[in-house]
Amino acid sequence: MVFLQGASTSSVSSTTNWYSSMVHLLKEHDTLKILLVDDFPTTLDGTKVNLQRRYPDAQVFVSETALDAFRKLEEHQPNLLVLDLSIPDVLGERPREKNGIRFLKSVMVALPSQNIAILSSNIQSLVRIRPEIDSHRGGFTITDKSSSTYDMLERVDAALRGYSDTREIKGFQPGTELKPEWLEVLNLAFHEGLQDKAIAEKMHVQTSTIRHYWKKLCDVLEIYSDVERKDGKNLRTRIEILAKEKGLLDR
Amino acid sequence: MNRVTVLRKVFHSLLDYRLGMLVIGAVMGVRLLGLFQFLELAALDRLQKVGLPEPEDAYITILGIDSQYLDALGADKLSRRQLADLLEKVMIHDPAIVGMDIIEDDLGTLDNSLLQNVFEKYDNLITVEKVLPPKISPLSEVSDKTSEFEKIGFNDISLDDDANVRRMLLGVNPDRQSPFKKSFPLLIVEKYLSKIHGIEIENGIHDRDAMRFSDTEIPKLYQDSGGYHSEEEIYGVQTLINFRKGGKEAFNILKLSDSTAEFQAHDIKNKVILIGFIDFDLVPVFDTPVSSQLRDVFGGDVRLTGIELQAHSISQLISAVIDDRPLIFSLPEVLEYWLILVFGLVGMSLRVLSQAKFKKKFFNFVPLTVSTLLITIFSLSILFIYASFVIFGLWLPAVPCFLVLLINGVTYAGISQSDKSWRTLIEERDGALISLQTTIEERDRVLSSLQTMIEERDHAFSSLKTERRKTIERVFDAIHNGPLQSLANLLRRVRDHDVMPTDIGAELNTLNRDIRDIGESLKQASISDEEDLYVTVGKTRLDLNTPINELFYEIYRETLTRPFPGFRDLKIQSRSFEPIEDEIFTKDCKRKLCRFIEEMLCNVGRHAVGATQLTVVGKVINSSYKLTVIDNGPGIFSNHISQGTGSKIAYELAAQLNGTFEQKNNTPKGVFCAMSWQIK
Repeated sequence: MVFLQGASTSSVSSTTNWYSSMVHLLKEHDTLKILLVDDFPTTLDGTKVNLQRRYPDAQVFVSETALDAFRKLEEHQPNLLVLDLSIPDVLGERPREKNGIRFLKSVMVALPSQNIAILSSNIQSLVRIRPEIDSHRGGFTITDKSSSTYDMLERVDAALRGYSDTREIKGFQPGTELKPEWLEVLNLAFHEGLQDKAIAEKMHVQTSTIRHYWKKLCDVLEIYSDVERKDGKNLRTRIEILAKEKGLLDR
Repeated sequence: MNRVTVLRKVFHSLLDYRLGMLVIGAVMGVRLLGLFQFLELAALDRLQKVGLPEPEDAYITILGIDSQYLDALGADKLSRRQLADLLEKVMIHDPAIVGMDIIEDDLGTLDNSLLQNVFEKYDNLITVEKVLPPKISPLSEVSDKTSEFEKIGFNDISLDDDANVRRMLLGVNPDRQSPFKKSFPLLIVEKYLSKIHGIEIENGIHDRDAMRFSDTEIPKLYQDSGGYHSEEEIYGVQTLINFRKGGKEAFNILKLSDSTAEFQAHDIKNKVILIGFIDFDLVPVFDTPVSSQLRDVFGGDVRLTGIELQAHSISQLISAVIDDRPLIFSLPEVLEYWLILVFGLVGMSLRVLSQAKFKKKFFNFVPLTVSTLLITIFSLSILFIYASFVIFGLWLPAVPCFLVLLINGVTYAGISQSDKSWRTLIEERDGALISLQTTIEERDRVLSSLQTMIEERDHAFSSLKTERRKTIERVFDAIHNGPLQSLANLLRRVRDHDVMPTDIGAELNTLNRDIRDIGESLKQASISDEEDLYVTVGKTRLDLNTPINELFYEIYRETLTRPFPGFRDLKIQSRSFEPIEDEIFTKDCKRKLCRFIEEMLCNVGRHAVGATQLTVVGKVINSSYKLTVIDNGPGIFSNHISQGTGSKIAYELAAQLNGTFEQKNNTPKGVFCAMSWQIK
């Protein structure tokens, strides 16, 4: 599906350090645009109010169906997509989780850098598309609808900044599940002491891809606090420690 | 139609027409021999007889001497005085010509001076003689006076072979020395026309030998004219008599016994007066075309006396000149034979005329059969011949014409009928052949449909077999990958003394449930028949329409949650499945791929005890897809691993995908499994 071609050039800026402030998005765009997709009116209104309160200058668009959401994505090119999985394709249909998953997959294929925050009451179905989520280059966070407004806003914010937070769909596997490429980044960075650029050359990818991998590794190693994320130097040390603890790196 | 049949057809038609020509030729030959003369003359008689009666002749009055008259005179013969008196009485009324058909024997011998006076007194008095043997001299009053030859005409009668009178003599040369003599009727006609109308006799224009009055040429009869063929010679100049129709009423006959008193002037004046005997007792009588035996039976004796015969002859000539009444003539012989040929050809043409095609084209509106066609043509011909005779006096060769028409007509109508029946026969044969053909085709069709049914049955059998084999495989896979794995796992733990009795109970309970689940799922499969679309991994039923890389991940996720010892110490699960275009896979192939990756993961779980890292990667390398499972467990110690069911699936799959399967010890430790196959 090819809609919204060349939509967002946003997610990662040309800043040299991957750990530098991620709020650059707000600086680049005149106004922050958020698309909120939810078919349940009460939640929709509540979420909208909360978002408006958090981002007073932001434009918040609302969609109740997948079809409408596609249209608005194309029209407004929002910085963030806040998505409830249980939505109908068109108005009048029964809302189904399947539709939400399909919509999400389409968005991830067409807009690999779109920031997405999932806000749903049944997030376990996301387990199935774990590989797609891992490959997604934009921010991707998952929040249970039953969690507190604070948590919700935190994760929406993280998604807006390009981070991943998928801790809600982990924990069923015996070991730490990750992509081989990420493991390689860890090895090259800490065993061989290479910088991002060198790693990128060695792995035949862009430097931006390596930065994206680091963000994913934060999710894998469950580094979620803002403080830790922002402190570049310490973040790398923290990653090394946690990786060793989890056995991803030899001690 | 090929050459041979065309030739045969031409040959046949030649044969057919040869037959027709033969008939024509034969008829012509017979006619030339004169064998048709009798028939043709009879036909002429018939033509003469049929028709409307004509009014009484206006130019001639016959004074008939009958027995009663003679009785009244008291003598058995007419005396010369009485004849002279009679002539004087007639002459008073100024007749045009008076002709006496009376010879010496008919009169008494006395007083010939009185009669001689009468002869000398009147120029318009004509009497008769007989010039052909036996000769009879004219009355003595005129016979010895050669200057009077214009007063004597011969009254010889020309008889046909059947004793019928059909023709009249106009003039003869009795012998070389004698001058040309004119007949009694000709003489009368000549004198009458000359006196009353100023028309003189001349030679003919068309035929120099014929005689002519004004523009009326009297057709001269020849040996071969019309139906005549067997005559040795036509003596002198003759012509056919076109008898006046009306029998005894054709002429104004005044019997002398009835009119002893004065004659009426209108009977005599400017008319031809003929005097003769009209009683059959007194003179010989003659058969003519208008007096056949049949007429005798029904209408009294209609034979003609000599004087009547002369009257007919005179009448026809005068009427011809004055009234354009037709004289009988015939076509030149060549034309007659052409006519016969034409009639023969018409007869032959019946074959063509009766053909269905021709009929359709021209006679579609009349339901013509061959016989009605024949009758129609025949009737038209009769009409034609009769009309020709009545209107023009043309005597056509009716008999030979009808003969060839009939013979050829009947013959060729018959041929045409037999043609038709032949055609019918051939059509019937063709019809039979076609229906035979149809029957054969039907049989072939039945046979081929039977063949198809047999093939279908065979196909059904084989697909049933395949289905059964697949079901068995599926059941075995389900048992092997589910309960058997759990059982093996439990056994190992028991042997390792790594399990509490309560755990065993729980495990066995799970096993029990698993096996029942398998039974349940098989039942469902047999009911729904949709099992082809799904693959069951553990407790998860996966839709085979899902992209293969997603299926891989599902199986990976499902399998890794199972309590295998090999999974217990895992720290790193490195996995990645790149998408493949999976239209190239059949459902069965996809199922096998799922089974394969499940089996490989189970192997790791069973054997790679203590492994900390598991790498499962599906990657596109160049134009092939490579699926690898690597652990860092203890590795392969013996060969038994590569003979298990898992390997069997792997090698089958490799063969099916036309790819390669590899299983070996990994460096520095663990097991390396890889399946790779071409995807482009």
